[in-house]
Amino acid sequence: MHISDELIQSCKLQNRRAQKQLYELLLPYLRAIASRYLRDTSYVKDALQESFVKVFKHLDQYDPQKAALHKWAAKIVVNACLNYNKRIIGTANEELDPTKHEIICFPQVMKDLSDEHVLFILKQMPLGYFEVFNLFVIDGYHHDEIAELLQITEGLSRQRLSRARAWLKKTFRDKADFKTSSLPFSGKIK
Amino acid sequence: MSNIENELNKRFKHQQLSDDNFDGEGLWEAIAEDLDQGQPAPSFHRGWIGVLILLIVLGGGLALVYWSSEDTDVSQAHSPQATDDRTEVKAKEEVAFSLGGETSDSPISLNSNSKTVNTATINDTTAKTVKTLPLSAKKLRKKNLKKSIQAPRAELSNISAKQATTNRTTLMTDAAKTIKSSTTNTSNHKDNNTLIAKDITTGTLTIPQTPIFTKLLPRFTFLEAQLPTLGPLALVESKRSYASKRPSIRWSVGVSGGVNTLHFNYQSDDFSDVANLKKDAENKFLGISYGIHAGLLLNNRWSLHSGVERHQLWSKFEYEQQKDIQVEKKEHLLKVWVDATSGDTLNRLYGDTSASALATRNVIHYNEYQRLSLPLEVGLQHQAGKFGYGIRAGLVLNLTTQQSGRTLDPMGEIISFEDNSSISTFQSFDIGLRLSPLLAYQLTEQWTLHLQPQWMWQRRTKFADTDMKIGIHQLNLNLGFSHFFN
Repeated sequence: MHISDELIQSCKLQNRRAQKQLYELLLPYLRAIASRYLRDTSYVKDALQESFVKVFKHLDQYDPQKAALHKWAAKIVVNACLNYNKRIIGTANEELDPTKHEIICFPQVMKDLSDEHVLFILKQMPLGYFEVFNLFVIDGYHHDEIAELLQITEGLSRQRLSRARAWLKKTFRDKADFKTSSLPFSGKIK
Repeated sequence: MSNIENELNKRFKHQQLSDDNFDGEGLWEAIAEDLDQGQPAPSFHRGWIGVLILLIVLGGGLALVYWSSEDTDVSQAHSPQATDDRTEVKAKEEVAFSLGGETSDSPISLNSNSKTVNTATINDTTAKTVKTLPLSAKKLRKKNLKKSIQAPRAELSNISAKQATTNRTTLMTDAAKTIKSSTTNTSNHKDNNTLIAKDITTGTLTIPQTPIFTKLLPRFTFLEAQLPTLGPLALVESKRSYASKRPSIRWSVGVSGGVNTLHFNYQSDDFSDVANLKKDAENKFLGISYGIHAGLLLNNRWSLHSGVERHQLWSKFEYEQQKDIQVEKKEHLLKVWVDATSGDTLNRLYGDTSASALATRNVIHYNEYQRLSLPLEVGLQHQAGKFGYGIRAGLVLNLTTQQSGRTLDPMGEIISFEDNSSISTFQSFDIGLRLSPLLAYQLTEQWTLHLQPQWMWQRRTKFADTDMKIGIHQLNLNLGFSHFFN
């Protein structure tokens, strides 16, 4: 994603037209992140609104030496989504209810599923595990950063990741003990 | 990272969502509105305010300088005096320094004295060494050497014959004085000397001188002069060298004791995060070790050791666990009905509900391990005076007699272990590799004090029936005594 320095400078000077241009550039990427992190996707719009306002207000603090602008904006979105999850759902680490969570899928089947469906399966993971898994595996955060973001200890972050991995292993299990998939939708397979 | 994780990472890391199925209408307007509400003061206003503050500060500073100009004169008037004082102090320091210089000369003279003393000592020792040689033999050797080189060829045989006779008589008298009850060896040796002397004498008297003989003769006389002194000494030397060539074997027994620590290294592919957690949670703590050992020292260099050791090992398990829990709340306010027009509360609903909470548990536990070890080590050592140093390496058979403590299971839960189980740190029987440098001090001919740091490594596999492996490092610092049997 290429964002010119001129556009960033114009945004810093509160040029509304430039800000809209930057918004349009960043929206697809940040929307994907928000949809991935938010357990309740109906809050995507709210989280994005809050995040974009923060991005434009604090653009002076952005240091191009440290990260690309879209990565910096992504951190703001992640933070906003985690806060939304906490506010709306709470930090509850729902117990693994077998009737609710037992979705079994072949690794090779996963390749045929759309991103939406894979995300649906992943979101069946208990929230605490899911957040750490997302941050660590997909967005490359370190445990100390995750601990700071989620206001938990590094130990708990590691523990949750370990459990998320165990959950993933169980869900995307090998063919040996494959059972009928209980996906609650009649697939829109690519 | 597993294949599934790689697949997920690839899918979502750079994912961008198109506008399909997204009702983004009004989002930008809402953002723009929010931005307008919290619009900060334009930057040029802030800039002007900054310039104004700077001007005020500068003006204030200049005014202060102007008003305090008279004070500056006063301070200038005082300043030379202050400089003088400093010079005086400096001068005093210089004096002190020169005095120091004088005194510093004295160690040099002392050094030169000590050098003289040293030289004298060396001379004394040389003198002593000379004195230890038999005087008669020394004189004879000098005489013979001188004469064999300088005397004319014709007179050589006569002179050497005379010297041989004198030599023989001197020897006989010396021997008679010193060794009254002579051993057979010594008497044989004397006889030999006499024979050689006689042969030479007869050689000079009867055999006509050939050029070769005359060339060899001075060498014979030299040898003859050497024999009385070299003979017995050479015999002793040869006996000594024979003794040193014989392989010497010494047995030893000893006791040792000291402190130990444990260090764990966890490795796992499937549970790498919990492995790191365990590494952080289980810390070193001092324990004690003691034992008896027996050794076999070969040629004062190679050694073989074995024994029985008892190790009381400790480790400190310290872990702060956070857990997501559900708390039951009874008669909690669940719902409130408010009249939209008046704002009055119409009704309240109370009931039982559950709330999520984060529970923190801090666990500190001292894990205890009792072990018996049977080492079998090979060592190499070197003796330098009373001090010795070396290294030992070998295998150690370990028996864990008792173990109990707390640890983390592969899911990161705190779990207790007792004796031998799949989650215990040590297996009931294992083999370790041990390396130990050695420092020794010989107290007496039989007793030796030794200081011995030890490092032992062993491995435990299949922790909790998973792929987790534990690398266990045990460090010891032992002090002990050994008794040697000749």
